Amino acid sequence: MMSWEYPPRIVGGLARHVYWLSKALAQRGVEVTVITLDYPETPRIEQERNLKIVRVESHDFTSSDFASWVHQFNLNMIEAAFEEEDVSLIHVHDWLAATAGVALKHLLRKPLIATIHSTEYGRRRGALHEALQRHIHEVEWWLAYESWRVIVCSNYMKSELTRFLGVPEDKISVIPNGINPFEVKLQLDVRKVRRRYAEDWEKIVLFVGRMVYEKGPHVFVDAALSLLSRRQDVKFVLVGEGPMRKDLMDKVYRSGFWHKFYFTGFVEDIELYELYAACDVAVFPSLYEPFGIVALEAMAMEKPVVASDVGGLSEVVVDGLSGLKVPPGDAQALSYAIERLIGDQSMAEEMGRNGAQRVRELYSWDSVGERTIRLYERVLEEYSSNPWKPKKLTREMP
Amino acid sequence: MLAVTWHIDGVIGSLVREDSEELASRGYDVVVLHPWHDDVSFKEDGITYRHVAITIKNNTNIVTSVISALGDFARAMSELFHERYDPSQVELVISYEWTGALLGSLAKRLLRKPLIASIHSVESMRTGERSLLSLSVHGLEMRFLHFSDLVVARSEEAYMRVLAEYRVPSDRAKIALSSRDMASIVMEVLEGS
Repeated sequence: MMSWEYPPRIVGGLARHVYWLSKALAQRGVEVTVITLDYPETPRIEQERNLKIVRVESHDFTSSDFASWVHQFNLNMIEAAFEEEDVSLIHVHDWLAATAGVALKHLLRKPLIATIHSTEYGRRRGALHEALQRHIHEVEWWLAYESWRVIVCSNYMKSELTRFLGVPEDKISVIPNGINPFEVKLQLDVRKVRRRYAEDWEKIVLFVGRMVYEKGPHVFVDAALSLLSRRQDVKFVLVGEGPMRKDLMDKVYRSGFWHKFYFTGFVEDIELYELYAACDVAVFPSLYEPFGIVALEAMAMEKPVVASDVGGLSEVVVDGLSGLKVPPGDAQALSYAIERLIGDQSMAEEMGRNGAQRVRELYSWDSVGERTIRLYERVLEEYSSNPWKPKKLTREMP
Repeated sequence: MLAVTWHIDGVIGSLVREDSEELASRGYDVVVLHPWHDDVSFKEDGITYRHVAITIKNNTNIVTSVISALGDFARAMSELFHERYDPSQVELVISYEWTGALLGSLAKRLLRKPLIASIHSVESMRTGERSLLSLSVHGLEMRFLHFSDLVVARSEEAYMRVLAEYRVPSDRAKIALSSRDMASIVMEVLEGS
């Protein structure tokens, strides 16, 4: 399995996905080697029973741009993979490991499976103006083309791959991201945590996500300001880092409601889960969201959610059952949905309970691991009856 | 003999053809792997040319162009050595410039055969810049010259720089001013191995 992120190197949701998936597979008897990038003060090789982590150098070379950095660490991934024996299949996560994955597929003649977590076309909403964006788009197409099967996390992503990358529908398997509910069950004093952020009479509304346009933090702030014009018993906590943070903080400051907002920046997992536990409503106003794992995290903590009716979020949240859905980008609708939940505690609690049950039933890593193994088995069965294999023929050179 | 090159035209392309013709005239079978618009192979003057269709056409610079072509070269090598030829009959891989050495490194790993890097010029001969891209190319040259079993410089200037700038040990560096010299070096390597 190849991924540029793996804990403790955490850039986005990919690291956690690969971590839990590789563990779930290893627990079920699959021998997994994860080839990923190095991280300070982390061993190059770690082995825990049948899960092996190999970290390759990510900065032993000079690169002039992001793409050439990515392709150069792929060279290191290829080298590391050549040291592994008895590879049955290669599983690549996203375009960042595509070069290594495709090269290894052909050299070893083993099936390649790709999980495409999001697409450049989707992230940019079709505006591929720069050479790097076009390059990434093309590499994503190539990865999907070369793969035996492609895994996506939602039906929304499946449709994105068919529309934007031309991947045939019957080549795509939908396996949702997972969440480990036990991971987020903490023994904590909720009241104490709440008092770090709000007065006892204030409701806490939580946003979790990178401060980038596609996650909609600006929609959240607009909705919050709208709600504050109607009632002031609310505190808004925004967790996440990103280029929009400073502008949004300035906007909040100029509004005069600066004392009603907390911008925490990046927080460690433990603080994040404390915040989930302490909040009254969790809000995910994304404009583009392939899956929406943060919504699952909130649901696992029995919190009602308000989410944009977009992408994978739309599949994760059931409107009226585990939360409320609003049109993406509609700050007014978002503010009224938040108000509805903070104004009706019994409805909010019931939605929280429903959400947690849904997470346990559909999004456990046990279930994700099981479905992934079934897919591996299917691919290996198809491969076994396919003539495309490593061969050593005895024909003469020309 | 497998020759791997990023360039099939211009000065490097001429070197590739002349070296291959010289080796063919000495009885060696040569397959030249080079980028093209299709994936076909054909024989000309006793040399097999195997085109490699390049998939990724939108690139940010030469480094991304070459490395993102690795999958295509792997596809071509896979087809050659898993389907058409017996890999054990390949005696040597010859690469041209750092680009060829990078792509040829796959063949060395796959076939476990010696890799000879033919170097017509190095980055400092081509540009006076100290840009990040230039440093990046320099780094790749360093990496793949050292990964090669033998570096053959094609001029006095290149030879001097391979030794002084890239610290290639003198017992792993030679100079060949003509294709005849190159063929003699190849034969020496084969006799020694």
